[in-house]
Amino acid sequence: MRKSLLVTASLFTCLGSLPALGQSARSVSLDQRVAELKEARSLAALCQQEPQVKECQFAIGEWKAAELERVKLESPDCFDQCMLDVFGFYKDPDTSREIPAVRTKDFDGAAPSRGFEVTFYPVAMRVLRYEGCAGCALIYQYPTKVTARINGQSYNMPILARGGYYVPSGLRRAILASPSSALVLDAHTTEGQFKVNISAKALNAYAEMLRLLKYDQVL
Amino acid sequence: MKTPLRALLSLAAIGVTALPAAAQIGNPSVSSTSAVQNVFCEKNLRSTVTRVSKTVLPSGYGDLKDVQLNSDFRYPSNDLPFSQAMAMNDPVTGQSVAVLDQNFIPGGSKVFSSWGRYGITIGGYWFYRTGGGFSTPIGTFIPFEADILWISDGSSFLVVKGCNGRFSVTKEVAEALRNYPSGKNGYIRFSTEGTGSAVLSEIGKETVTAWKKVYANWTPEAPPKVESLGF
Repeated sequence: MRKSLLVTASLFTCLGSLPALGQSARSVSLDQRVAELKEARSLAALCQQEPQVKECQFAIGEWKAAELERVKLESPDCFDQCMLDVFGFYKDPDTSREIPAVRTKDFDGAAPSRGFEVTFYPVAMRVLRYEGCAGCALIYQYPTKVTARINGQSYNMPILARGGYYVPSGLRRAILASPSSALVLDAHTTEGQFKVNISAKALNAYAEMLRLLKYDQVL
Repeated sequence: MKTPLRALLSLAAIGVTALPAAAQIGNPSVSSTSAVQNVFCEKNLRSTVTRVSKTVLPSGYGDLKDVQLNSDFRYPSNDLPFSQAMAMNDPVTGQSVAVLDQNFIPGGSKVFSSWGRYGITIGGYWFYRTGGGFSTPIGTFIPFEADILWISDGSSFLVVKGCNGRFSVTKEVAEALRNYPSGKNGYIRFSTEGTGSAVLSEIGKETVTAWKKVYANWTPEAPPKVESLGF
């Protein structure tokens, strides 16, 4: 009797864990779908095509409209762009689409119009460099390669679009684990290599965005 | 059979003449029978509005510098690099890729050309010196705008007609400029408004090389936005 109970219990345990096993076998990280993301042209479109991507399953985006609306209640919304180093939803003036982002700058103290502007989105960032000089035309350029360094670890960032780079899950995990650490971007441009320092304030705001949009549960 | 048709036409005519009251806004002096097309223009000039989509750059120009054209005529920016392909962001017409070129005699005449993906601009000034010897020499700058452009294309050449120094770039023009032999200077010939003669002008070899980027073969396609990919 005891033996049969044990067998039944172990059978139930096995059967109970089967869906979880199946799910984990089917789930893939977005890191493995970067090319597909580019092809789909938006994360929301990819999540409709491939719902087994972990970021689509756990995180909140336009594919989870009701939950996204609740997150919007917890952060400022602004037209065109929000304040620097603050997480907020900015409204695209053309489409009125509300996009979560953190915008930050690392400008040269000696030449205030020269430096980098970085905008963080949940799984991507835009990096651009202003050449800047008094009385010049506004010339800027996008780096051709960006590498992120945090806590002694380096992360290569795949190019998604002109000036747009994918933020790999490892980097997101590192930022969530220690949002006050120094994040440095090594940006390669045709003018040379530059070091971009991301402030702790901006990084904390990015970590807050990831947490509110439940990207911490993906990792 | 003819009578009902005539009646119909006259009815239509009445309809047209009866309508234009709304078109009189801003032009009250024009009689109601002639001002249907002209809201603001007199002398029967036709005023038109044309809607053109803003242009976007496809992917593949990651190495180019972007120039945001935000200096208006009061503060002209003269520091844009010559003979180098650049991505131009025009707040009115959209994105394009272009290379600027200049050909001049120091202190003398100058030919300025802009070779854009969708349009070419050629203009400049001629410098004339009069007097000298026993009288004070006087230099005069006369601005010009090209209106006909000759482009070499293999065993033939293209004659491109424009106006006000501006020329449209067709597929054929782009192909001719893209296939121009690189590594050496190029030549164009152009005539200016009001003159019949065609001037030969040299184009720098870096500009000729940049034509390969500017007129690269691609079909217009908007690249995905970073914000869409990241959220």
